[in-house]
Amino acid sequence: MFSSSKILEVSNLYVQYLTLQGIVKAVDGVSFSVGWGESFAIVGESGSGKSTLAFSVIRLLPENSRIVNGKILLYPENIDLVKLPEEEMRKIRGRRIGMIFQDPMTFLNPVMRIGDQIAEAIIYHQKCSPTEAKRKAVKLLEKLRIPDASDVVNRYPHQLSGGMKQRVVIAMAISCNPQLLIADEPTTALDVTVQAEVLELLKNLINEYNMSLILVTHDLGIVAEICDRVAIMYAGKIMEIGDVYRLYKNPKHPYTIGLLNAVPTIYKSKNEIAGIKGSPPNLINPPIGCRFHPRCPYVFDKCKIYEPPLIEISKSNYVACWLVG
Amino acid sequence: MSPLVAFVIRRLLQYIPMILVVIVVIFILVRMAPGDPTYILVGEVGDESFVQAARERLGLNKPLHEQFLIYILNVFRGDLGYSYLRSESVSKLIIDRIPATLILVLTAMFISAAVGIIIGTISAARRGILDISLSLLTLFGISIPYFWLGQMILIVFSVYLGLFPLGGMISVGMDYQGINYALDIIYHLTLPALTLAIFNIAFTTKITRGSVLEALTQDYIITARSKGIPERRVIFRHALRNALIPVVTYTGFNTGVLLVGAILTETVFAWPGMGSLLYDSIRLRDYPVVLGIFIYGSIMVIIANLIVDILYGILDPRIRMR
Ligand SMILES: Nc1ncnc2c1ncn2[C@@H]1O[C@H](COP(=O)(O)OP(=O)(O)O)[C@@H](O)[C@H]1O
Ligand code: SF4
Ligand SMILES: [Mg+2]
Repeated sequence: MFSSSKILEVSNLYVQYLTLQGIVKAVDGVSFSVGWGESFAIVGESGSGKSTLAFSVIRLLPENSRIVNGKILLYPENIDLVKLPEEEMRKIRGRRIGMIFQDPMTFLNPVMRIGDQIAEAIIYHQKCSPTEAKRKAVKLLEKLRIPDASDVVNRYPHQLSGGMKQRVVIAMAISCNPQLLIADEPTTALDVTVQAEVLELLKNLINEYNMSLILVTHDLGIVAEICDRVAIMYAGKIMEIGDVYRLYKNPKHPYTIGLLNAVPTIYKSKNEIAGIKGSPPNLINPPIGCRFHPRCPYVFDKCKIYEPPLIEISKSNYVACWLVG
Repeated sequence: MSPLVAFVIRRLLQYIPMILVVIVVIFILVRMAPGDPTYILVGEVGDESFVQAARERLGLNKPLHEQFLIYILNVFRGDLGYSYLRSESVSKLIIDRIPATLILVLTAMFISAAVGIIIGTISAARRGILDISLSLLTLFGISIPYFWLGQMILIVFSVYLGLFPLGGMISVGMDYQGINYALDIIYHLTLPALTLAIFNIAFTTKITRGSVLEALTQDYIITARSKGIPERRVIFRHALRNALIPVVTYTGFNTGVLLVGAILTETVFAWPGMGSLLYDSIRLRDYPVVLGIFIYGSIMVIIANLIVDILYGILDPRIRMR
């Protein structure tokens, strides 16, 4: 990836939540960039700050959050989304950046017809008439291989299956041809049987429209199918970034190794996943030194005091571990 | 039979026991109140045999449970009896008064729904000073009694400022026709409708605000915002549309409260509706009329609930009428 062909660059981003228990440092100094047409995965256990990172990019964080520091640059204009006024940000949402959410059950408006939900972004961004927008909505649903699309636009979300609903969410996200698609666990809430279908659909769409993708998932297993590069996130920080191929073949960070061991294969049933012992830390008081040290099998003295920096080990491959580099 | 008709009939049947309970309770309450209608009829100093004759004529000499049985049977025959004081059937007396009450109550309902929903939504959308002052105003609106408020409004706007009439529903002796007749009614309606609406505006505002705030925390609001549509549309088309369901429920359930408010409001403004008729009838111990008004009132509340149930199905596509 050439640096001139970036679409998004996140640099040194810090995002916090204010809670009664204290300040949650959900994203704590994260940097990465995504190229044009590239599919970039952000992987980590639940609670590591992936969603926070994704919602920061499209600036849809909850009210009790704040972006404390950092830049989110959108290319080619080099706009810093962190500083962009809300009015300008609205023109970017839907039009330049589309978003797909985890649970199509709760993320679709229960009392609005499918067609109207898809059409509204088209009406606002492309200055279409409602009838024209509705026609485009039908086309989109057909594109997403929804049977009886012209009938489905008149239905309500509860009348569709989970897989169909998620296709509707995808249709909404791509309705105005955004260059960047953010998908936060797009298959997690779906039946295992339809997960693969939806993923395949997503993959074809980004190839066809040459969209860039940020795929957030806790499942390293689905990443290889669809993504070019991966960032491994743990406790608000990036532990490792690399090409999918390299990362699978030759994982460097102990956490990445642990995650890969947790991926079920045909040889290992789900019950005997050799995952990582323990659970991710509380992000109000994260561990000092390497954040992974309480769970790391290779931990040594230095890890408990000094935090390892994310260093480049080869072109666009980065690792944050004292054992590497 | 269409599902809607079947639904309405089933609902009405379910309400019959409720009406029975209402009749029993009201019958007992009315008879427990002190005072005897015969004395009002014949005067305190009437001849004792004269009083006895009046009692017999009205059926008041029979034991209470017998009177009750006779009454219930008549009610189910559609006969609510005759007024003790006015030489008319109870049904005729009440039915003549229904239009005035309906105009008053429906206008108050419409004003409070429109104003309450708009203020409630705006105050939910922008929290801050506006929101706090609205909450205070709402509290104020909820706590003032109709009777006092009505009298204050009447004194200020009609007596001092002379902007509105002192009471009634039409200008006596003017004999307006057509549009002028309607305008004359609106002129008389303004103050009583506002009085009756204020409490309800306050409450609708409060409920709308809470309901919109709740809707704004839902995931589909994030989706709506992710499309880059104007915030105005997110609030009104997505949040309010979902928030309306509890607001409609409240408005329907509140019909009874409004009818009670109408008793006091109509009395203060001499509005010729069921409320002022009830007030007079209670004062004069005209039992059949009092009972009749409560029965009609209950039926109105039941109809309002039916309308709510039907609106429910329209507002929320997930609810199918069963
Ligand atoms: N609205 C919120 N208020 C307070 N804390 C939150 C909120 N949302 C997320 N968090 C916390 O921030 C951390 C990161 O959460 P999240 O970004 O959802 O992680 P992930 O998507 O990787 O599961 C977690 O510790 C979570 O509890
Ligand atoms: S820095 Fe130390 S604790 Fe952290 S991952 Fe590497 S070896 Fe483990
Ligand atoms: Mg998440």
